[in-house]
Amino acid sequence: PMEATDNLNPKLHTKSEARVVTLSELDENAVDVIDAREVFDIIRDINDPEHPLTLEELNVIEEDKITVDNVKNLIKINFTPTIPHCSMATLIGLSIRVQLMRSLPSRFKVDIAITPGSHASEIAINKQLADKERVAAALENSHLIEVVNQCLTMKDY
Amino acid sequence: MLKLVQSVNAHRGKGWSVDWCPHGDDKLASSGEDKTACIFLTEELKKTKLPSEPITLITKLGEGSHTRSIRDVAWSPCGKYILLASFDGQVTLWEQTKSKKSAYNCVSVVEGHESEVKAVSWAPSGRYFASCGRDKNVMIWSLLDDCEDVECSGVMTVHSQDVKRVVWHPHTDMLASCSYDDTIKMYINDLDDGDWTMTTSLSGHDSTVWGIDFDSSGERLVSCSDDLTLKIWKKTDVVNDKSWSCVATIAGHHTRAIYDVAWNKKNGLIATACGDDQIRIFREVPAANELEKNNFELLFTLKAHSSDVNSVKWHPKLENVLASTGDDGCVKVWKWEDII
Repeated sequence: PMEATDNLNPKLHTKSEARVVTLSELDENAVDVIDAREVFDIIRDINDPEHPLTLEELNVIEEDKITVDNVKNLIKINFTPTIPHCSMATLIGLSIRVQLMRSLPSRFKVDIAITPGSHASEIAINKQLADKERVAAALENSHLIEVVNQCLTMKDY
Repeated sequence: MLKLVQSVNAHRGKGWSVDWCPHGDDKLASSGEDKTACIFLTEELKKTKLPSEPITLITKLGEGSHTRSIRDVAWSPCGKYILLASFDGQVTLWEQTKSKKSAYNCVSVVEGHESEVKAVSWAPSGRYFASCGRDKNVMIWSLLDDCEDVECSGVMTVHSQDVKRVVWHPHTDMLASCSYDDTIKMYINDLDDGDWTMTTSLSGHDSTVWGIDFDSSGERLVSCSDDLTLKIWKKTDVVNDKSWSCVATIAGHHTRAIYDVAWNKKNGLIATACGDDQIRIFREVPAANELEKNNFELLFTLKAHSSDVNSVKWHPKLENVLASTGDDGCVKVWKWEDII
C-alpha cells in the first residue's frame, strides 16, 4: 500500500469525449501524421500513482499542453502536478515517457517537463526527466519499472 | 565530408559507447543496452582501397557477466585488456587469451561503486584506470602484476551529482571528470604520499557536462553539454596543471544535448555526437591577429544515425577515421575527406 498521499482531496475534472476517427486515418496509404489529440489519447488513462484516478481526471495532463511538430519530429508535453510539493512528480513524468516510448514511432523526440510554475522543484525534476542515461538506468530497475507498470495498467471502470 | 565506410547492427536497443584499440591488433569495441560488448577486427581499414565490409565482428563479451546495460568500454594502452562498465554497478576486466586473438576471458570483477557505473578510462601509462558513476564517485584503480591484481588507489568524492565521464590526460597520470553537477574536475596523484587530490574545478556550463576530451598536447580540453554548447578550456599555468580557464564557447550549432566529443590528436578536428541524430565536425581557425582568440568553425554536419548519437571516437592511428554509435544500436565507421 502507498504511504500517506500528498493531496487528500484532489480536484476532479471531466473526461474528454472520444476522438472522432476521420476517413483519412482509416486510409492505410496516408502518411501517418500524429497530432496532439493522439498523444493525449495515449497518455490520458495513465493512473495517478496515489489516487485511483487517471492523469486526465486530475488535469495533470491536458491536450492543450501537448505540442507536436511532425516536420522536426518533436513532441513537447507539459504536465501539472496536483500540488506544488507532489513527491510523485518524477514518477508521473517517467510513466508518461515509458507509455510514449511503447506507443509512438521511434522517429519522435519527446520532451517532458513540468508546467512552468506548478512545482517547487521544477528545474531539478525537468533535468532528471531529460537525462536519457538516468531514464535508461531507471527502466532497468525492476522495482521502479513495476511501479511504472502499475501506473500504466489501464483499469476497467 | 564524412563518408560512411560501414554500418553494423551491433546492439539490440541503444548502442552506448565505442572505443578503438590503441595498440596491437586493429580492433574496435562497442557496448550497449543489450548487456553485451562487440569486438570488431578492423585491419582492413588500413587499405587504400577499402573492401565493402572492412570491419568484422569477431566476438561478443558480457553475456552472462553483466545483468544491465554496458554503458562504456575502454581498451588498455597495450591492447590486450578491455574494461566494461555496467549499470549493474560492476566493472569487468577482460584479457585476450594467448591461444586465440578473438577470445577474451574475464579476469577480474571490480566492485566499488554503489550503483550504475557510467564510464571507464585507462591511463596511457597503463598504471591506472578510472571509473565513475551514479554514486557521485570517481574511483582510481591501480594495476599490479600484469593486471592480475586490481587495487583501489583513490576515491574522489568531490562531485555533487552523478559523474558522467572520466578521461585521462594524453601524456601524464592526470585525470579529468565531468558531471550532472555541470562541472569538470581534474585530479593528480601526489607522489609524496600517494594520495589523489583534486587540482582544478571548472564551472561555466549551464547543464550536465556529458563528455570531455584533451587535445594532442594535453594543454587544452573540450567539453560538451546538455546546454547545447562546446567549451574549450586551456591550461593557463605553465608550471603546474592546476589553473585552467575557458577560452572559447562554441554555440548555436547543436539543437539537442551533446552526448560526446572527440578531439582528433593528429589533425585537430573536433567531432560531436548529438541528441539531434547528427555528427558535426569542427575545425580551429587561427585568430586574424594577436588581439583575437582562435575560433572554431563548423565544417560539416550529417544525420549520422536514425536516433540520438551517443558516442564518437577518432581512430588513434588512421587520422581521418571515426567510429560512432547511437540509440539505433548501429556501430558506424566513417572517413573524413577534406572538401577542396
